[in-house]
Amino acid sequence: MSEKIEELKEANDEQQGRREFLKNVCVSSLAGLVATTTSAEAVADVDNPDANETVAEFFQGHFLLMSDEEKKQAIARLEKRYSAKYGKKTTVSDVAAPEGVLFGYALDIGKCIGCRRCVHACVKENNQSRHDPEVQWIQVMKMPKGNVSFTAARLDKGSPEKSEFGDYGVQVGGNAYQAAGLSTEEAQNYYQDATVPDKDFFYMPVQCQQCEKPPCVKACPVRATFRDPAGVVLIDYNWCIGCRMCQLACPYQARHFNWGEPNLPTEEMNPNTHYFGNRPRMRGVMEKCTFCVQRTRVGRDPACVEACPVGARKFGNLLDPDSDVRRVLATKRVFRFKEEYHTYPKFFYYVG
Amino acid sequence: MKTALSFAIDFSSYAIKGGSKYYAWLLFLGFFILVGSYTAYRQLSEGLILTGATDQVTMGSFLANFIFTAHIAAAAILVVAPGYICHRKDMKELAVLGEIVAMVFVATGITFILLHNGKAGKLVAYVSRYRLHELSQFNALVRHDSSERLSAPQYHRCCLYFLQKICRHIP
Repeated sequence: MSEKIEELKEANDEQQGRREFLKNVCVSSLAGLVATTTSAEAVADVDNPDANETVAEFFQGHFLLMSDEEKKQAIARLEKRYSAKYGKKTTVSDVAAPEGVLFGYALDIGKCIGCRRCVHACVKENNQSRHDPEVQWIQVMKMPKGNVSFTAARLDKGSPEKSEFGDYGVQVGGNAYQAAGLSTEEAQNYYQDATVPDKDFFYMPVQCQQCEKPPCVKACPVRATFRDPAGVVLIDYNWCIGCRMCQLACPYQARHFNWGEPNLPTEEMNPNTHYFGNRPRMRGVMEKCTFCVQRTRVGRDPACVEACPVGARKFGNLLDPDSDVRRVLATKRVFRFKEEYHTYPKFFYYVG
Repeated sequence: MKTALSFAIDFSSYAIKGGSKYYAWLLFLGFFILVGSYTAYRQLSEGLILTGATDQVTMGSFLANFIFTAHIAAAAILVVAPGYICHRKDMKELAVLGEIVAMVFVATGITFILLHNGKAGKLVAYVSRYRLHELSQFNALVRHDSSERLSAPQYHRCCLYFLQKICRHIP
């Protein structure tokens, strides 16, 4: 074996450095790998009549870095494709975020009855996959009453830990082993009750909290997700590579992945879409609550706010002192979910 | 080009020489290559739903295997190092084997990463679209606000600064 290797070495050393040559081999095999994965993806789209437009969409850059002309072309491509696929006139808008606005949300967990009307209104508005699997951006947690784990009754329980090296005052028992604040330990995310509300439980809907310091934005390796000037975290679905690092980073389970081809029936498709919002997604990208960017950027309320039958949901501009959200912040007992992660959500829970 | 061709021919002819036991081993491995290619094709045409991962359990065997392959490649480099750096004759003979193992496992690891992603082929779009300094928008040093992107000379100065910092620690 070593003889053969010596032969190989001699043959290569004559004309070219062997190391450089091996480097070339490495690079070319890498290129081959990438090419195979790409061609396999192209094979899946072979029945698409507009092959050129598919290629153009495949090679398009990040939407925020495009020139106005490129943006126009990208949107025209999408509108044409969606209109043909769903058989109705589809508009993809790219309305910019309004000036001097910071969107905020407030939710009354005292009023919420856990009916999940918001969940289904959201699915209807935002063109999620309807079945296999159904993607829901809002998750309603059913939690036992008295869930706040730090209780006054246990304050005088427990004692400092004794050690052979001395007494360090480390608390044992009492509240020491409880999570601080609201605990999701006994929360039921997939409850199947015939009637709501259940009197021993309260309900806490969780969706994207639109953090001021979003961990998902830090995690994204290609900056496909970003915080827009109005404070909403958005995704460029065409730029996303589907690596799911944001999903690992998000402490609220607010991000959802299109594991398979989304199943969106033609008749249920909502044709008023936004580029960063509810346009139909492709397989293999992340999606999440955008505060209904296609509605809120033109001054409407999100679909979940309109759907709530008990008025538990409030939406508004945090910079406007007369808005609903600011009034809630000024007059109610407000908390943020999982505050200890220091993500500074703009989604506030309060008890009315 | 000529070198590459002769290398490929010599390498492949060397790789397929062997006894009947060796051929049995190649057949055994070939079976797994076929199964892997078929499942990769199905995954690329149907999506990651094939892996059975969910929004709750997002990372699967692709990422776990990537970590394994990365460390095998690193271990193979450690076989190469004494040959080239300490000039040990016996290790130099082993070095080629080490390099082959490292190359194969790096390639396998990159395949795992590509298949782990939802849209792996998008990588081509990045490379074709943006030149090197424009890729600085994806650099951890740079804020995501597009107005504060570094210009090319700024980016190169930045890289130089970090290189100098790193080099200071090398004796």
